[in-house]
Amino acid sequence: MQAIAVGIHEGALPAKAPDCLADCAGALVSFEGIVRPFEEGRAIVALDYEVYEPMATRLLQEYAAEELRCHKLVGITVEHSRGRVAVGQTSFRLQVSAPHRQPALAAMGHFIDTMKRSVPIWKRPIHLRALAAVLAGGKATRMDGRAKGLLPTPDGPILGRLLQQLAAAGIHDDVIVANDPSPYIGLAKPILSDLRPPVGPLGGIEAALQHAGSGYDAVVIMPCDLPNVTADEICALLSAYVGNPARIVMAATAEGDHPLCAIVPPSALEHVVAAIEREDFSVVRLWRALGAFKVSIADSSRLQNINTPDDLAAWQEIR
Amino acid sequence: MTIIVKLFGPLSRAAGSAQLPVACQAGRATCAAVRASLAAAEPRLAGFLPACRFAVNHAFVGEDHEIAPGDEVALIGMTSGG
Repeated sequence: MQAIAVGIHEGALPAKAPDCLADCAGALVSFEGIVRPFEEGRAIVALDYEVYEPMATRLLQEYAAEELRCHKLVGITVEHSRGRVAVGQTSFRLQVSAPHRQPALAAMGHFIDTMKRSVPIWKRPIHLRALAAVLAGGKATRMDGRAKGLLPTPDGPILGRLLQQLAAAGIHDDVIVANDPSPYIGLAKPILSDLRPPVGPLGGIEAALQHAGSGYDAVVIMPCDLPNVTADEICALLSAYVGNPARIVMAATAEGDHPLCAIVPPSALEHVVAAIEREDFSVVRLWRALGAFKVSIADSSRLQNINTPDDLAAWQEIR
Repeated sequence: MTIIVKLFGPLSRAAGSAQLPVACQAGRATCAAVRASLAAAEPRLAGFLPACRFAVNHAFVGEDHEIAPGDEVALIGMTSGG
């Protein structure tokens, strides 16, 4: 291992075992900076790094030399990405070796603090383009035909409250999927209808995916009748999705899977259409067949839905 | 003389360009003079300038540093690497 090695690499840093160290090193500290799924409250798919490379390389070498001298290190290796790095991938790696752990740990912290202050590297978030599709097309027969999205909560109509939680999770583009638009016109959101005679929620999902087209990376599907869901659950789903944007994610609790609380790539449209055409209308069966990743929600009450007047009364009592 | 100032990250997006030419009098081309000219030439940078430092030939320099012909000059704002 060279005493000091500095490298700027295009894209994510490949996985790497720690460098072999000189004989006199008794400690190796290795740090990796990994792209988080959220930046300033919004889901991202990647960070784009811009590097003023000659100056960044020069400063990283100077700072590394300073740490080497001050802390009597054996070696220090610095790697940073330029260009696009996806969520979950490594954009920065620092390895410090020293005869003992204290100087290695001290150098690690000091180097990163110094670097963040002045090395000319800038990151720009590439946001996830997410469309929320709230399913409100059910007939609500068990609710005496009342528009479920308008059921009252202390925070306003249940569907309006859901839109607030979606906004708190950074999602501001919403559509409501309802075959009868009239109850929801006041919410001032686009309202989609099924593209064919009703086949249940899968028909609404088809309409939402078709609407999303190529303009979005993800369709966040939520039923309109969840009075307790919060931005936390929505963010948990988003975090899982941006780590692998081609894969469907759906919520699961101890009580079972929640296929209507899911995030789906618009490219799933062809599979939805095929399932409808073969008259297999089960959403959960389709998501499982497509290898959906389950996101565990510990508090199952967050995904409780309201199906009957008794459900509503019981929920209001708890509140 | 004309000094080309390199811009990066939020600065280049604000200015709509990765570099800006700034006219300075030879012999008086300090970083402070370039900063004043930049503020006048590109008002969209004004809000960023107080937090910016100059780098000449890949090293940070003070406001009094005099820029020579052929120097590479960059305006470095808040960084966000790591």
